[in-house]
Amino acid sequence: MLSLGHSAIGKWSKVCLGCILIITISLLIGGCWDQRELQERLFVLAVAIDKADEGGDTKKEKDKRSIENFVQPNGNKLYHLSYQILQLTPASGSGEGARKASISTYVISSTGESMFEMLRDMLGQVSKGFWFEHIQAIVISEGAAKQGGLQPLIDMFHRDTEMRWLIKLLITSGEAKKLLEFKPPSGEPGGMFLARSLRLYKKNPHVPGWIPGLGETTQAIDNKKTVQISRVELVDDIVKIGGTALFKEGKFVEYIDEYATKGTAFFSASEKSAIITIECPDHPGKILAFELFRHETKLTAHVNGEDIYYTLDIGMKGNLGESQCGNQYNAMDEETIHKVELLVAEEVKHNILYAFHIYQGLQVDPGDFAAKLKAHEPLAWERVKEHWDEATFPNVSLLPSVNVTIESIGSHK
Amino acid sequence: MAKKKWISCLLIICACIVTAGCWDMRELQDRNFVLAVAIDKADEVKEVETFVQPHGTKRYRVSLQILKFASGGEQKEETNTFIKSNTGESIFEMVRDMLGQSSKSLWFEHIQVIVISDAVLKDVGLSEILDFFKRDAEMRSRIKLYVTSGKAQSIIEFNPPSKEPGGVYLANIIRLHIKNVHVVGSRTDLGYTIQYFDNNSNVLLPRIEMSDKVVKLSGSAVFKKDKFIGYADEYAVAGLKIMLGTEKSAVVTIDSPKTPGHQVVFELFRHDTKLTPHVENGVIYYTDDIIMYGNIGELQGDISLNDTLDPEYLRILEVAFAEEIKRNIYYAEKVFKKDMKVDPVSRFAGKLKIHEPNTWEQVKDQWDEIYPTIPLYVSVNVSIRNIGNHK
Repeated sequence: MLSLGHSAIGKWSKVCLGCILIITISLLIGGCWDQRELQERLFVLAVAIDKADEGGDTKKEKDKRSIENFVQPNGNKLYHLSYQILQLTPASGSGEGARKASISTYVISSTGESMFEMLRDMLGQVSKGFWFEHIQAIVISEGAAKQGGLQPLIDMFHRDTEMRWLIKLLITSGEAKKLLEFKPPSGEPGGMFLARSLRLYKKNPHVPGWIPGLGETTQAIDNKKTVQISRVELVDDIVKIGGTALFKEGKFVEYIDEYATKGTAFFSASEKSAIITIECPDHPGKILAFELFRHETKLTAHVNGEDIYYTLDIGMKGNLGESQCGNQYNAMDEETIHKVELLVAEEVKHNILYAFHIYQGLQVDPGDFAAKLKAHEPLAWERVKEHWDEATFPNVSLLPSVNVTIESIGSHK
Repeated sequence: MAKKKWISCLLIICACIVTAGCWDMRELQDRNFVLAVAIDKADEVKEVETFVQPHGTKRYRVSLQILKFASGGEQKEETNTFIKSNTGESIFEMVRDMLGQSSKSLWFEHIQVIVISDAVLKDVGLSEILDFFKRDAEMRSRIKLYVTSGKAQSIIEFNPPSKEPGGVYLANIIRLHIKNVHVVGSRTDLGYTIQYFDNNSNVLLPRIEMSDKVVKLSGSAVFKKDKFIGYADEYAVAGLKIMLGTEKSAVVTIDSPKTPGHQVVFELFRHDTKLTPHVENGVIYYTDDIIMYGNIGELQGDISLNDTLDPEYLRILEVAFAEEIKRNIYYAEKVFKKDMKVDPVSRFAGKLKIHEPNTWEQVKDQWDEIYPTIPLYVSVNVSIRNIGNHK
């Protein structure tokens, strides 16, 4: 009897235990115990960093800034930080009165020195916490970059765990906040628009897209390399990305134009596609464009005694992308095509040397040249590394040799 | 038998009527939910709005923010609230008279926030204004209270860019006080404020300001009992929160010891704060012992010079952060104790009462005079952790 009683109790406790287990598991796997709705989060899509005294000239703007401000125990009011916040409005209602879900953005700002302190103080302006996992772009104004260099601006973003490595960096000569307030005509949120435009660098060598984001920039700063950041400009309602800003050891050096950016792409072999234009061989004043499909690029360092020089061998294949040379122009003729190939090769060389001389003039190595020497001629590198940027690099020579082949001729004359 | 049948039939019918739950139904859209209240000094009395008052003067303007339920239609309105306002002296009387401006009765259960203009508080005590809200059965204890130096009505008229109803937006800002050390957030709602009045304590309320399209909560309005005596800035609020140990997280900035002119930031994760009263030979003093754990949140100087992987440098930073925190606490002490002569939320009095009841009995009558002369000794210990990923 006793044993029977025991087994009965054992059975019941097992059943109870089983029930409790099932209830616990179903509570947990329901996934609701720590749920947080999308519209309950404030996603920060883009960040703008300006100098504190940029903008804010009107009285209204000044009043606004006095409210945004806070008493700062240390440091000065150096920067004006703005966040672009995603506004998700869920769909509501049904039938005729239904409202569609919509996406929009708005911008809030603060002024201070430490980005972190400003961030926390900006919580006084919003009703929900910020989420930084989805920052797409950080736009820095030239004024802010010149003021203290790049490092103070991006330190918080590479230190904080919420930030991603692939956040895109952009620089503008105007007010960065204006770019966050810009509403793209496509209806995308502004931050997405900026980040996505940069992804088209493969087809547009006017954008230095091969240095994609915050991660690479941080690495470059840590390795004391040159940092290249895309330039973006806003005039009225036109936003345009093109050209590069160069930073040496975190300090702003200079902008280089689209043509030099393209040249840089050629010697770092980072272009996937490019359009190279030349003047028509027999029809001056008219233009002909070569479309690059594929290329093979090899930059080699040579040391000859004290003398350091580089050779750049490029083989390019592509087709005739556009010919404005007129109807008489016969692209089927082999000789004509060969002439074009030579002219395109000349143009590529010219472009490369144009960019190279700009870098030499600024005493900034875009990175490729020191790296090649270090890897292939370590002894020579040891000798010159102390004064590479100031003394050696501006005096080395670059000998480009370009070979162009035009393929796929025939469909049109 | 037949009688029983009849009774049971009747019972079933009654049960049906009651359980259907429709006998006292009232649709949501038929209620006017009040989301926010603003109390200003009566500026200009508009005749249509107001009423003939048998007693008192047109002293206050009370504005109510009412939730608008969009029911169908193609209207693409930006706002989801509207404002009604009235002038008078008794808030209750004004609210009842406002029914003349509304087609549905007003529901106060969902008031989120009461914004009070400091112009009102300069004339009368806070408790007079809050009396109606604490007495009425419809009001909740968790209503947030804010003070503004501008016009309270324009703050509840503000349409937040996040498209929430204004009152909900305003009330939710304060919930972020956990991360934002510039805001006094814990125990500043209606329920606690009334408790403070009942206990004869001093009161702190968060300050809200607005300009154009920016609304910001920061700093604090300071009350001696229920009398408004001024504002404390963000730095003083941060110092006070750290002094009393009510902060959950904070960022502390210092000038980098190795690269002056650039900032290093400490992010507080966890702390242990102990404010203790001491009585020695009839002399009262307080000690505040604080231990803080956190990491380096931001470093703006040259990283190669600020080598945080070096334990010695880390030690220098820890000491510098501790110094800054001390400075912050002493600043708060100066603002509240020396300048305003107020014991914020009567925390110091409370500590003495609990730990040294005999001394408290002796001094409680002259506490307001004695308190500004009592010294506070602060000791801060900072420990920086989670170093390594970045220099």
